[in-house]
Amino acid sequence: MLRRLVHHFIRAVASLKKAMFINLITVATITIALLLLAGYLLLLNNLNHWINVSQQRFTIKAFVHDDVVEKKLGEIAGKIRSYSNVRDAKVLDKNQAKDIFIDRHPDFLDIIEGLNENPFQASILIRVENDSADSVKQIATKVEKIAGVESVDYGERWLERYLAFRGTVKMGSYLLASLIIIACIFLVSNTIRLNIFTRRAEIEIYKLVGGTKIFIATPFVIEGAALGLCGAALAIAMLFVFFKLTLLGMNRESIHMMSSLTFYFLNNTGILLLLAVGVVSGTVGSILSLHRFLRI
Amino acid sequence: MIQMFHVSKAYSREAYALQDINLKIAKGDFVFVTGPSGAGKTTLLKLIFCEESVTSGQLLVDGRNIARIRASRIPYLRRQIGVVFQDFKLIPTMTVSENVALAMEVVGVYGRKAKRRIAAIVNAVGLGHKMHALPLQLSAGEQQRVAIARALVNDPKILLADEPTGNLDPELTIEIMDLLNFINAKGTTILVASHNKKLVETSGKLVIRLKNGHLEN
Ligand SMILES: Nc1ncnc2c1ncn2[C@@H]1O[C@H](COP(=O)(O)OP(=O)(O)OP(=O)(O)O)[C@@H](O)[C@H]1O
Ligand SMILES: [Mg+2]
Repeated sequence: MLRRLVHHFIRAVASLKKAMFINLITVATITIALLLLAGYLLLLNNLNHWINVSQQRFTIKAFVHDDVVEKKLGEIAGKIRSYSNVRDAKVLDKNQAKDIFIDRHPDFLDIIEGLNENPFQASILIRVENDSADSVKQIATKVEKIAGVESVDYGERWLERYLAFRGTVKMGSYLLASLIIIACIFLVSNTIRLNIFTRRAEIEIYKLVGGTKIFIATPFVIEGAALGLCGAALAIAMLFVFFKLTLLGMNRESIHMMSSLTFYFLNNTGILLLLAVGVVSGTVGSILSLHRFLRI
Repeated sequence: MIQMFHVSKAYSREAYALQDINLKIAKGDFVFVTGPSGAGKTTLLKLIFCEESVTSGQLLVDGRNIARIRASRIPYLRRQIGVVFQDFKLIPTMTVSENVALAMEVVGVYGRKAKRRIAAIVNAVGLGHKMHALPLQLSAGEQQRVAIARALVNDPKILLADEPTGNLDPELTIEIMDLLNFINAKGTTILVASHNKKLVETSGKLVIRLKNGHLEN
């Protein structure tokens, strides 16, 4: 079985070499198509990183009535911690709130010390599991109903805008990915059809000496998958070179400028996804051609 | 081994290449199929290994009725039958040994075992010194012998040969006939299409005579 597969690989490689020119053109075209997708994924990945940097937006701050005693505060926090998707709930009593404010705005020290009552409100800071934006709203409405909680703040407008934007981006990726997959399938299918055509005499002979359809088809499927894989790998490599030459340089400069803007390359999932898109569309493309022209 | 009952073959409506053929070839027989050009010799061979389908009638090969064989079974039938084609059907971009190896690859025999077998069979047809030549670098007679080697490499139960000596000089013809006799002596059933009258008549073998798609005797 393994031996047979090795043999099919050898045949596929031989045939790839034979139709070198057309195969190179196919790989180049797939590379361009997948480069588009790869660039888009790179953009998404960086957007995600930037959003993670500004993740504090995804915390919920629940303000508590002034008449709630300190012991009760802890109870409320405990209750919130027991909710699903809540990572942590931290109590900030009136004094801590004041200290934090003075820490940030030392100029106001005198004015605040001059007051005879602490004007700051106690609150509970809630962090959401996985910083998932989806559960923020749901948890916030639940917290708002707890007795003693006066109001909650979770950057509602920003969150909603973010969710809408993310939805659009997601739809965009699906659309772009499907278009590119279809294009790749079409490309590979055409090339394999041409390869089948130039080798039809050979295929005929394979049939006449007792070759099964699978035996005849397998090298073509391997060829198609290899074309897709090469295209994807090249696209990733080219994107990486581009990334090294331009964006990484900007990273270095931004360190000097003390800016927090950093660029990241594709993560492993993105790379695997691209390779999979290449292999799968190559395989499907060749099977389509075989199906049509060998009636397999 | 091969039995035909009222077998007819029409390539197009009304134009019969073979009509109402009845015959029986036993295991181990050596049979010549003869007749003028266009009589249907090649067609008869093509029916036996399913390159063409029977239009009507029953055709039994090794006990199996192949008149209505499923397409997926055809490759397995063909592996039992070695065929020497009238036009050789060698792959021009492959060497002699690669062309012969092809027939072993489809049945899943590779490597050292295949190499040894290929060397033996190519030597047997007298082309040991041209193992790595391409078909176009060979004479017609040499190409024919490559085709014979490929047909025999899997030890088939049946050997079909379409004009296997058509391009050979008398000396080589004798050599090839000796080779076929040797294969036949080991138990392979052989069917040879030939319009070489002298060869057929002096061989002392069974003869099937075709004319215009009909059996003559
Ligand atoms: N693929 C085909 N399509 C249509 N007609 C065909 C086809 N093959 C053969 N024929 C016809 O069938 C008849 C028998 O042909 P066949 O090739 O069997 O003859 P043959 O006896 O082998 O001749 P030869 O000695 O010249 O090889 C001929 O009239 C031929 O024109
Ligand atoms: Mg003929």
